[in-house]
Amino acid sequence: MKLPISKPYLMSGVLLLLLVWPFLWGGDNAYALYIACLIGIYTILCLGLNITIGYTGLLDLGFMAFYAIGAYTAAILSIHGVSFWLTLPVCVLVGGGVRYLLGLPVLKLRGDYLAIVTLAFGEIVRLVANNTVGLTNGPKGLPRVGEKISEIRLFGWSLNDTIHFYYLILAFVLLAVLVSHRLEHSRLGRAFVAIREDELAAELSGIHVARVKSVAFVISGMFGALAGAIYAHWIGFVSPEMFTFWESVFLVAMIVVGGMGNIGGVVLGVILLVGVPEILRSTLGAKFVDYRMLVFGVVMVAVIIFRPQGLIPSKRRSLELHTPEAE
Amino acid sequence: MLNIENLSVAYGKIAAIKEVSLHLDAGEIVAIIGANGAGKSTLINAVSGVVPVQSGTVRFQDAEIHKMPAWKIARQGVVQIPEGRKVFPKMTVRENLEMGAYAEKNAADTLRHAEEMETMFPVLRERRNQLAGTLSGGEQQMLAIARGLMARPKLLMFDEPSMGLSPVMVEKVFQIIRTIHQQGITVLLVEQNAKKSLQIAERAYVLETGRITLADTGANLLENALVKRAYLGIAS
Repeated sequence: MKLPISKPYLMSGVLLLLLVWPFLWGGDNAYALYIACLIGIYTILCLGLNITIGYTGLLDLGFMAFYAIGAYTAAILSIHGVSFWLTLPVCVLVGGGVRYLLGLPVLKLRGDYLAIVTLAFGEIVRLVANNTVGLTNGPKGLPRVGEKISEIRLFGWSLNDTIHFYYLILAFVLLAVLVSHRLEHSRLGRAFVAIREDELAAELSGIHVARVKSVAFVISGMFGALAGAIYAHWIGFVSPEMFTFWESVFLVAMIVVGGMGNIGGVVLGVILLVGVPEILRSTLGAKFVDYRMLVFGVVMVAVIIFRPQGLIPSKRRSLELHTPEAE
Repeated sequence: MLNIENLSVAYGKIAAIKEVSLHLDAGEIVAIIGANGAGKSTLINAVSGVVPVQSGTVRFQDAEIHKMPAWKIARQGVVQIPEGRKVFPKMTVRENLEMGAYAEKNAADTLRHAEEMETMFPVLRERRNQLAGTLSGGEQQMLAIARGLMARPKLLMFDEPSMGLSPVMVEKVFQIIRTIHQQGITVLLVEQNAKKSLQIAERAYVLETGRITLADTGANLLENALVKRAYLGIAS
């Protein structure tokens, strides 16, 4: 695919548009901002999941577990008055740590077996959240009556409006895109892809496959927890039913539809599968909610038939990086 | 350089190789010939650390490599060109080369080395930005060999390099193996093509159902009546 303008200009243009659109139109429309924030949160999540599924080829069907871990950790800390800027790194570390421990036994498994075990882990986390009432308040969710998730303070003001969160989430989306991009083009990122392509050949090339897989797993877990922590502060409420198996499958679907292993593809997948049903919900009225899954199914089938590689497939590193002139 | 002593490998209860002992001196080119299922690939994979060793030792220079994981063995300079080539299909030719030098952290050095490889295998220069999966079988074999060389091996082990290639390509692959050996790299060659292997090998072992049954110079084995009948298809 050849773009009519060069990539840096396109990126700057998109960024500028993302920064100013709330002022031009729809800024007073809380619902449009809400959808934009939701897309942002899911983008961070899916970019994280893309590191395991897209780059490294490890099928994870329980990724929502890490979103939940981030969200609950953030809610619990915040209720106890810990500041957002301290909560955030703690959530990322907890998410990464749990992910590391999960990886120790499960990364020895391959393909379908890994998918089944991660699926089970996702359910375990949800059930733990549902049943450890003392910590999580069970199905009633956090915060409890009379408690409150504290506001995010930044340079003396509090973020309490959706538009504040829009810019906060946008900043973290940019960070997630940047980290993904750097990772993709790094030596480590190349090792991820090599493992996906041929694990044996990767090992024979001197790649410590077990460790590199673990690193991919941990980084993605950190993305998940980060998204969860932001979400908890934004919505101000966390409950187990947000983290069902269905949500995990939904994340995988976004990546598959958009294009595995491609940052732009992942973002497009999120916009389509999160944004379009939400936008249609408001235009068609509440009735449409019932048809959401129907449309979703049709889109999935259509993509698998017409573009099995995703809407924007990974180009696997373009040529300009390797021409002799550039070197 | 490489010393294998009483090496046994089993897949579950089925013994694949039994008490195999062999050695390679620095600078040698040694072949292992044998029929399908004789245990040739198992032997190479055991040295590479890809299959677990049941008993016995594998020593490379002074290190006991049978205790090491595969990636570490590769970094010792014991490099395998795997059976069926196993290039990374969705990476470009150049990226495949770079993966071979994964242990080398100096990017400039890797780049220079990759260019040397392209001089040695001009087809890889022509195909530099092409995805490896789109190459022909012969080209993929060239790439697999070049990728192996990128790791700066001291010992290069070939597992069935001529498999599935046209006669012209087979000729070329053996020519390349000879060239690599002349550059001072020790070569262990596992092949079903007994005639070609014995012609280029200084010494060779015959592996039959997991045991070494004959060991001699390549030239002598070419004349051996047993070998002639069983592996060269010459009635005597």
